[in-house]
Amino acid sequence: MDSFSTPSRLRKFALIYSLLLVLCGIGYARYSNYILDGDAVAFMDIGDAMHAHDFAHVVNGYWNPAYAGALLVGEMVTHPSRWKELQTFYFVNWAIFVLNIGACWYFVRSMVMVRERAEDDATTAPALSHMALLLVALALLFASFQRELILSAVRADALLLLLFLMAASFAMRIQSGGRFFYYPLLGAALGLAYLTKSFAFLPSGFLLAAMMVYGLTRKADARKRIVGGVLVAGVVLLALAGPYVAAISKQRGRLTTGESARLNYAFFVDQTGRWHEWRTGDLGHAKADFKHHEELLVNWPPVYSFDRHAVGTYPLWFDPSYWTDTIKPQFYLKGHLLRLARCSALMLRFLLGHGEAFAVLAILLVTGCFFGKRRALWLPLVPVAAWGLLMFGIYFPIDLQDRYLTGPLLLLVLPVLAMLRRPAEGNRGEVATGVALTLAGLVLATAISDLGDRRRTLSVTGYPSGAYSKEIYPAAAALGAAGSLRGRRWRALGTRPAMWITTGLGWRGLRSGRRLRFRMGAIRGRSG
Amino acid sequence: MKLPNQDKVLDALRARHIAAVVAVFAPAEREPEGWTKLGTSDFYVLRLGSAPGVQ
Repeated sequence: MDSFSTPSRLRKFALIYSLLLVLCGIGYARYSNYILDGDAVAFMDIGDAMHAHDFAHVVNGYWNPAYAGALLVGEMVTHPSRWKELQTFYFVNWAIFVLNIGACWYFVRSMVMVRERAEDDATTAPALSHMALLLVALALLFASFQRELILSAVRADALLLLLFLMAASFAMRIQSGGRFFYYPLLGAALGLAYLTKSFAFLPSGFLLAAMMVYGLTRKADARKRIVGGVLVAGVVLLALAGPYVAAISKQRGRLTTGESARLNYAFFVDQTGRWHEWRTGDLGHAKADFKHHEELLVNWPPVYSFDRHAVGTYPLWFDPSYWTDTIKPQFYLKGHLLRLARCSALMLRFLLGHGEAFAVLAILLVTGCFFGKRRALWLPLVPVAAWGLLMFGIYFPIDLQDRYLTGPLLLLVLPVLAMLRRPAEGNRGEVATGVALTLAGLVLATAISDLGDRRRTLSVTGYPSGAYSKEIYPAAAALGAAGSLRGRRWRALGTRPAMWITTGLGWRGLRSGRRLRFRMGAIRGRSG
Repeated sequence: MKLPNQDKVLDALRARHIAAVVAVFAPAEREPEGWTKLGTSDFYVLRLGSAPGVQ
């Protein structure tokens, strides 16, 4: 049979497809619109602090440093002017996107290794071949980079996704009888994931604990190898995460792996106001006796000074855990019920917005594919899917944002798709490959159309690049040209509340300096 | 056009040796009094020249 889906032909197609995705990524890095928010400037500021070896300000209770380090690498490689800085960071995100494509190849190969090791069934075969599964995975990954992980969002989520994909891949290599060095690699991926976002600590702990329990229930040789391996993975994780945990704990004066969980519980469950909690008294159900709140200069309109800790472009969001230090979240049942309702709606919205994987699953089931009756045909792929489900479960009671959920979704749905079987005889494998090719093609076609529109828009506006704001850049140029302001103390304020948040133009502490840099809609004075 | 309590706010900033204030205003026919438009943007700068200790 002259099948269109021979493994070698599909492999070539997957390679070309990956290359096209890389090229589309360049288009998105180039043509994506100007976006800069408080999260982004916090990461950029931490990158600056690293560059200046100012490690006291690299250690931050709310933002972990790995992504800021990636931004710094981008700056050190390209040495952008301040006008090109944001564009450079879009390309750093593109590089992380490219690494995610590589991680996707590795992840799918690892799933296939687990599947092949368990296969012992002459009557059925996997519904999606290795390369068909890879095409589905790449299409789903790329769709997420067009939605919640857009390259113009200077945030850590795509880097965390990369590290979770690698960690899951190493775990599956171990599961499929891989060599011992996958254990330390697993620990390294989890350690770096923690250094990217403190959220990673909890699912990492659960994963290693589950592997340990599994190992302890094995027979002698297997037990020795697994328990020893998990201990090595744990040591590597702690070697990477430990110094940072120690540094935050020293800074905060108590043992902590990060303050984001505590703060998010206060913000979302206790309904603590997110800004100026001390001033407004809007603590919700949390309690606090703030050690170093911001200073109120004028009561109305409320004008604050952050001079007491004037660090970062937007000090209030550079380290919220500093300004809210001593906040004590309280258990609040009604808050939990409200979050349950809200997060259910958010979850539904997320799932409805990510229907491709479920469409593929439904089509394959309708066309005669199925889950094997024998546990060996699906059980080996359950642990990774369960890890993804666990991450959904950790986020769900407090807060869900689409960009948090890409990793959990891929870790859940890709193993489920890999579990699907078809009869060994017949053409259902061709049908499944056709579905994979169609999905991949449609996602790519949508992206090309979208990029064409973006490029056209850019040529009409005459902006030099996508990462350009017709408000911010001319203002920054004019202010930079006002030489008499250089080296002086000055402040920025906003009259549009939305701008306070989206561009950070509140009254805020801006440090004086010789070098003016604009970020987040304002020019930041910096020494140096 | 003046901000609410503008004098009080600016006095507080002068007392802190602030040399200038940058703000964004919604587009309007009249430019806010005393403020200088920054380029073609809706951003304005107000120099606090009389601030104590400010040259």
